[in-house]
Amino acid sequence: MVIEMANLFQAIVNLQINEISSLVEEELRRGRDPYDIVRELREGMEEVGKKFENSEYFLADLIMAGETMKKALDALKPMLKECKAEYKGKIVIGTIWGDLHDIGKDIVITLLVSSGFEVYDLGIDVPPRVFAEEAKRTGAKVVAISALLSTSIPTISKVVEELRKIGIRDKVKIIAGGAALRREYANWLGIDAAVNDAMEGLKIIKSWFSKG
Amino acid sequence: MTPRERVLTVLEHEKPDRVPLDCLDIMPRLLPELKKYYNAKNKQELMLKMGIDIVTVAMDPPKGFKRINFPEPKEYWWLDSFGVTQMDEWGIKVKPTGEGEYWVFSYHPLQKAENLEELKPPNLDLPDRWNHVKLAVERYSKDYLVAGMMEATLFEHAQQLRGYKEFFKDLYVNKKFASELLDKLLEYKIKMARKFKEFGVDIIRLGDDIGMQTGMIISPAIWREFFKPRMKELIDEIKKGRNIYVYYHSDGYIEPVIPELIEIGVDILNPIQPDCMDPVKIKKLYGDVLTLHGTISVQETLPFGTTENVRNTVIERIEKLGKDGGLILAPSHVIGSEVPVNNVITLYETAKAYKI
Repeated sequence: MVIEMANLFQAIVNLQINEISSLVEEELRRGRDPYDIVRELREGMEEVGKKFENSEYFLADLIMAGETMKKALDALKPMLKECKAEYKGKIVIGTIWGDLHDIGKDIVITLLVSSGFEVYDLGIDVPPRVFAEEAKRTGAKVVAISALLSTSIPTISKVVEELRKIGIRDKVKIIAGGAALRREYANWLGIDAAVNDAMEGLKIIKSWFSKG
Repeated sequence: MTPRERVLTVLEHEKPDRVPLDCLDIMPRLLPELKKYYNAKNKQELMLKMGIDIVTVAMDPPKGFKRINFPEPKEYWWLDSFGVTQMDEWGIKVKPTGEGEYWVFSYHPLQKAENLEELKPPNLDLPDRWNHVKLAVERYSKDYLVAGMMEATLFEHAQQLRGYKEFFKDLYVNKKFASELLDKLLEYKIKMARKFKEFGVDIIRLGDDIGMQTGMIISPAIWREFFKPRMKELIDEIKKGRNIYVYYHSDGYIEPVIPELIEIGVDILNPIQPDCMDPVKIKKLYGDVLTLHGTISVQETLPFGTTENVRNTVIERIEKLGKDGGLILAPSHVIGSEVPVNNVITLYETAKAYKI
């Protein structure tokens, strides 16, 4: 059992995208609980996240791990549908209007999904109004805004205005992330946190959910 | 000194009259005010009046390729496969975002390809292909060094053709495809470099973003396996028979591969993004053989610094990096719309006035 458990974990950590589907199917055939498989896969992703944080893994490794995870979840999908999904919470995420960079956003999505969050990805170049509408529609507790360009940073405060307009600003936490962001910009933008590191962003989001 | 003499002096790591200057591009919102200040009719004239010492030129797109409607496209700066047309000759499509100042790659022709049968590189021998390159060399090379633009050389170009996630996967589990694609691109870039040489440019600007804010995008091992040998082949070809300087651009943190970039023949490294790497450290380690290009932050100093911050940073860079040559000062990327015009003027005027 220990060896079997280590297989999926190792497959994620070793980025075995070509083998992951058959490994997952094999586990299912043996009658293993699909949610236990998801848990092991997530542990693998957490290990990848740690290696990324320690500069042992690179961006391309993280993307590959995300793709490997996606493939594993695809193989599990038919089984997962039968059970009620258990998520830690809902998060709306997108790259702000005027900015087209998706790699940072995709890293954060990979980390969030592997940490058990339900993520609504709005894509790139997202108008502020759309963030607000999606937060209302989904009831998400967190709105995460990606912005790489310093040019697009001021637009982040427009998301705050839009959330205010539809009366849900006090129901959501807003975090912005991107290379050009600094912690101290949060006050200026009227948001709850600003980070330039994906792992730090994940920690903050997790802390918001653990506080209920 | 003429701009040409000035840049050649620093490339030989000797003391110039003042630090040479460059600028990748300026966003349209800043242009009216800057043109007024410098009394310039167009962007090209503006750049020269601001004091840039290198003229950069790219090959022309074929007739009929529709440019994205920028308020003022650069006269000489068409970037091959860099997204300035809505669909380039490889079939890569882009669309503008926000107010149209930036664009996003929206279609990658090889995204679902299993082989490269359909991939047809553009014809580099079209009659009007090199008009602007010829013109730039004729008009400017007496007084300026002329640089041929070949950025997005291999890694970025492959991502544009294939989509970044797909290409990353190729590098791990579809290595044959990745190698064949890179070989095709290399063959095309070698032909392009030969053309630039034929028409008399002095510098060739290569580049692929392999760095991000805190680390590299790909591991040094993957860079060594796929990109270093091909980049070396291209640089060997560029330098064969003529003394052409090789410039290499990568945003972000790329410290682990700088010694190897030098080893394969890179003379000028851009932009030494100061938010990610310490320019003083890079100068200390490699400044005897490498010319640093850039070093002024577009993430901090230019958009958010005061006039005094900008002035002090410029002086500090010149003092610490440029006293004995080996520095071409420039913003670390395009000057964005949010940058106060006064900071741009301060950067260029401080640098021009500062006697080394």
